[in-house]
Amino acid sequence: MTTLPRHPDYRACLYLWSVAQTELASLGDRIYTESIPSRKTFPLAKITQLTAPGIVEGTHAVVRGRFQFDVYGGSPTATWRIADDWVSLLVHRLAGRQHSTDAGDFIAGLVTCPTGISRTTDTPKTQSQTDDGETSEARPRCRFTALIVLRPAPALIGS
Amino acid sequence: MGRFIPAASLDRVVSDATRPERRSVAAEVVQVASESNNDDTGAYDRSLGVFEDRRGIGAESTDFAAHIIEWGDLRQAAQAPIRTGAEAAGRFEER
Repeated sequence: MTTLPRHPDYRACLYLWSVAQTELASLGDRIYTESIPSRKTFPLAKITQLTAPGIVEGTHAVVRGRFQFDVYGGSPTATWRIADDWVSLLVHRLAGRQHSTDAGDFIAGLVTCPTGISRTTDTPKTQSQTDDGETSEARPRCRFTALIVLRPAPALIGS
Repeated sequence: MGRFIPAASLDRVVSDATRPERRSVAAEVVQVASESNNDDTGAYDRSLGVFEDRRGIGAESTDFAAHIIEWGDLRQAAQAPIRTGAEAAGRFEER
C-alpha cells in the first residue's frame, strides 16, 4: 500500500487561522481569498496563494508555499499596523507548530517574509472617491509576501 | 600554500562565461510565465521577453497592466506569472 501525503487547502487553512487571531480583530472577518465584494468595508485584506512547490523534488511531502498578503484601506498607519502584526503572527505563532482548522490540520515550518512590508504612497488617484463611495480604489496600502514551509498533520497522511 | 589572486576583470570574465546560461534561465522564466496566467491575457503573453541591458539579463513584461497581473489590485487577484516562472527556474528569493 502506498502512503500518500494529502495536503489540505493551505490557503483556506491560513484564512481560518488568520481570522482566529485576536491581534487581527480590526479586520473582523474581512479577509478574502477570492473576489472582494463590491460594497467594501475597510480595512480589509486578501490572501493569495502564488505557488507551493515541493521542498524535495518529487516527494510532494513538504511544500514551501508562497503567499501574498494585501491590506487595504484605513489610514496608512493602521494598515501598516495590521500588516506588521500579521508578519509577527506568522513568524512567531504560526511557525513551528501544528494547527487545526476546519479546512484541515497542518504543520507550519520556517516562515520568512523576504521583502518585508511594502507600502504604497497615496496619490490623488488612490485617494479619489469613486461613484460607490469607495476610497483607495487602485492599490493596496501594505503588501508582503511570505514563504511558509508546510506539511499535512500526521492524521492527513494515510494510505 | 597557494594563493588565489583574482584577475582585475574577473567580474567581466564570469559575466561573459555565464551569459548563455543566464539567458536560458531567463527564457525558462518567460516560458513558465506565459503558461501561468489566465488564458485571456494574450497581449500580456506577447509582451513577455528576455532583456539584456545595463540591468543585466532577465525576464520582463512590457504590458501596461503587467504590474496588476503580477501583483493584483483591489479588484483582481495577483496571478504572479513572473514570480511563478522564477520559482520554476530555480530557488527564487525575492529581494
